[in-house]
Amino acid sequence: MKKILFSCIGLLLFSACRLSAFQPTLLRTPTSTPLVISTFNSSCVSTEPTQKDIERALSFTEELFDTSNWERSYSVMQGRVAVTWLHVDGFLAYLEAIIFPCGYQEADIDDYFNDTNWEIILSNYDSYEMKNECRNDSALRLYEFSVMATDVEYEMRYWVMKDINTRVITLMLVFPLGFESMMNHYADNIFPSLETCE
Amino acid sequence: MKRFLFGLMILFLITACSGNKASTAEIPAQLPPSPEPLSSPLTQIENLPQEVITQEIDQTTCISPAPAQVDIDRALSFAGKLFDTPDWERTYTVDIDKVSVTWYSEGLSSIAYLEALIFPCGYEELDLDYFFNVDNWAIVFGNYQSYEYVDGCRLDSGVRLYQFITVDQGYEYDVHYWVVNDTATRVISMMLVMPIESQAMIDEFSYSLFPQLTEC
Repeated sequence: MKKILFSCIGLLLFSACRLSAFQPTLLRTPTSTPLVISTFNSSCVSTEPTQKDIERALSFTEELFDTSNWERSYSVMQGRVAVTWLHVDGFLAYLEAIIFPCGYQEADIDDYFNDTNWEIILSNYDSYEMKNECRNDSALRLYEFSVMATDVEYEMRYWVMKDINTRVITLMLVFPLGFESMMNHYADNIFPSLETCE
Repeated sequence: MKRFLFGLMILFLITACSGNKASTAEIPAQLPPSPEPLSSPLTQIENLPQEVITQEIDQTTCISPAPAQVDIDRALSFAGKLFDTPDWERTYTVDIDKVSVTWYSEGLSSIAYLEALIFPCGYEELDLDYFFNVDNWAIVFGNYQSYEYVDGCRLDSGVRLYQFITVDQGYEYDVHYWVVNDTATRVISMMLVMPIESQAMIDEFSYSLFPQLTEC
């Protein structure tokens, strides 16, 4: 049930109403959120996001999307803070600051981004195909997808970054095919060490 | 029941998309006609042409539509501690021109949804009549199997209550939807959706939120 709820909240987040050439796809797109599975004990922290989490999520990309072409909204929910930037031309950036209340190891992240959870994360797309997966020396991960929605094909890059010991940040860029250079520009600004897997 | 809740969240999506109609005039045009014309005096208000509203807007006095921290705090604190129990899980979203808060209870099969709407150029009662018109309800209840307007009323203070019965997956739900003139540029709406058989719970929450206007 929670998956459904979070899925719907994701829909809410992504379903901004301003229509544009590519927007119809994004209206029913992005991300739902798998649950973080943890065995809560005394060393675990609360799953409730703090103001610091909110500020971290909102400031992560600094001023990159602070233009009139990008519209920002954000949601604060149990276990995460999510920020959506929607471009007037339908490009999408979506960040999540996910709380792992009992901390995490690489294996936990592997487990989190398993096939089942990708199905949840990308459940609002008509189809998706993982094209590449890579990581750099600092364990920053990048997953590259080709996704379809409303008969439009999009390129998606999905980074996963270990932030602090109980927080993981993910950032997703979704651009229609043909806008690779623009996507590279944003990717390079956010993750210069891992702009792409290629 | 689960599909109902899913539908409800989609509803929130759509409600969010309905936004501030004073500034998104294109949205109503995309809506299907309402199956349930209202029969109260609200009907007359709904038929007001939009020009009546737009002509009254003085752009020189408009403020930014972006929510401030005080708007977030106001939205989060509006219901006091009513939903601060393990039954309810809270989510809130800060959009370009509003703050919305959702309290969801799986155990109670219920949802409460608050929006703090910003009218950057202010508003009059007629603006709200227009905003909360049949098209608005068609959006709000677009994912239900059906919805029926039951009643609408308001206090002298301007607090409004709209009551509906909705059906989804064969289950009936009682909907109370209040609208409060909060400040000169802020309107708060609060929606409670609860199983119709849980009348005592509906009454209890309604009284806790709006003791002066629990029902029409």
